Amino acid sequence: MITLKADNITKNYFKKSALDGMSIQLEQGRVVGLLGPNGSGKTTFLKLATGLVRPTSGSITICGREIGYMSKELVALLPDSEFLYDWMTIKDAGSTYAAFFKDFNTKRYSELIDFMKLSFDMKFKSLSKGMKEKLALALTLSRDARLIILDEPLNGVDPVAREQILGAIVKCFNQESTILITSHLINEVESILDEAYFLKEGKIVLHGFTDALRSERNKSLDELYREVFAC
Amino acid sequence: MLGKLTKFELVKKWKSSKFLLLGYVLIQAVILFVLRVFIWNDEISRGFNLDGVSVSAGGSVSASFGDSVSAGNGVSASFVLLTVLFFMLSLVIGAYPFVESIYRYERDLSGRQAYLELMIPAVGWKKVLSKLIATMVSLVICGTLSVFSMFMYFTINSNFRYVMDLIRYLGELIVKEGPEVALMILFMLFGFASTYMTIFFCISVAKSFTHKNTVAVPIGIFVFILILSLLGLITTRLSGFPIVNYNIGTISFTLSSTLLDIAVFFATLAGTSWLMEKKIEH
Repeated sequence: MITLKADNITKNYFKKSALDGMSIQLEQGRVVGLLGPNGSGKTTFLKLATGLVRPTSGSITICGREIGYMSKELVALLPDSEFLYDWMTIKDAGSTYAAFFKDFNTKRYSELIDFMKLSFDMKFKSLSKGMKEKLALALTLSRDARLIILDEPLNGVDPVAREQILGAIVKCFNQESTILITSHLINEVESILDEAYFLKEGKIVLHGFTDALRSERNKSLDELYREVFAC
Repeated sequence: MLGKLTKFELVKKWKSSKFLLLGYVLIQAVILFVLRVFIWNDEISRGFNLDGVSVSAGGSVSASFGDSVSAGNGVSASFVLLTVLFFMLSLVIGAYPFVESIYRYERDLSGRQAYLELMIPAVGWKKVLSKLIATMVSLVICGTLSVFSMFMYFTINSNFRYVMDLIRYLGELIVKEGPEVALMILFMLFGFASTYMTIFFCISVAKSFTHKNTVAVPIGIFVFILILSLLGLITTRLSGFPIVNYNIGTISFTLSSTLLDIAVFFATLAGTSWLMEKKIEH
């Protein structure tokens, strides 16, 4: 079943083109990487998929639904920046998600908070960057969403926290959903990706299943990334 | 969903304002304490005494104050300074919801929490209406606090018997003219709600162009002035077609202007919701 279908998407910011005729199709039960350097259009695409920005042309559907407030019920987003209020405790953040997202799994949230070695009475304001990232990930992965979008989940976190984050992603993944991840840290995410799209200047320049890409070219995904995006 | 959104908005307002409100109550209490214990004297009390309070047949309250305040006898400079400070703080707390709601709405659309706000799977009008309801609740609370502060000031500085007399007269007036008073309050609240809705609409128009405040703020102000001018023009034209004239208390209204006010409220609500759903990007 197709979770996300983007057809010939273009997004312009005034004269600057962020995405240029991008087409992508994500199937259920896969962990997909959207890989590319800064400014390649990754975050723009993720925002388009979540309805935070609108395409200049082209169409996107989530499980057959046009992007709108209804599609937001199907998509869980982990943004690349802080999005919670300073006054929130970890418990408040969970309660807020539980109130607004029907698919929020409170039991899983508790398990993930324990797994991440956080506690419910901690205030968002007092958390370190790594802890904030873990909390945001716990909130996102606690939703039984059809499409889970993780924008740079490993950015700015130490190697131990990275392992915990990747562990949590693997732990929470189920065959009913699709996970779309962007990351610069190809080495770190390579092991969990089933499929990868390489995005350069708003266009898909390489796409394939990770096993096939590695075997066909006899290179790791990281080496391929360096080859594709070498200046 | 509207209930949940409203609760969330109220919690946000409480969390961001609680220290300000508690600080306000504390400072006002300290000022009143200092005024009464260290500065107050009989002359001041006499100056505040209401020499006569009367309720006319039409229900309006008339009161006249004693001579001491106007004469300035026994009123020290510290009393005047603390009084000015007290009333300035009362005005600030009364105006606070206005400033806070504009700031909060702008931040909700383009601040770092906009991800959370815009990702909530709710139809636009529910999001906008929940913000408006929370703003009105905050307006009522801060307005009540401001009026109550002033009431406490008079209660503490004047003769308690006179204040009780005034309360009794006001109570009688409300009982006597209950429906009219309720209608006046309703009209006043609707006027505030409509003003906030127009401001939200102007901010949304500006934010649908850009999130850069150097550009968005002038656009918002321009749209606000444009709407006010347009409404002024329509109201002038409508004065020739009142449909029905009616009075609430001493204020005259026409049915056509009331219908226009209602239409403007719903048009701005619909416009803001549409902009939030279809045009504002993050």
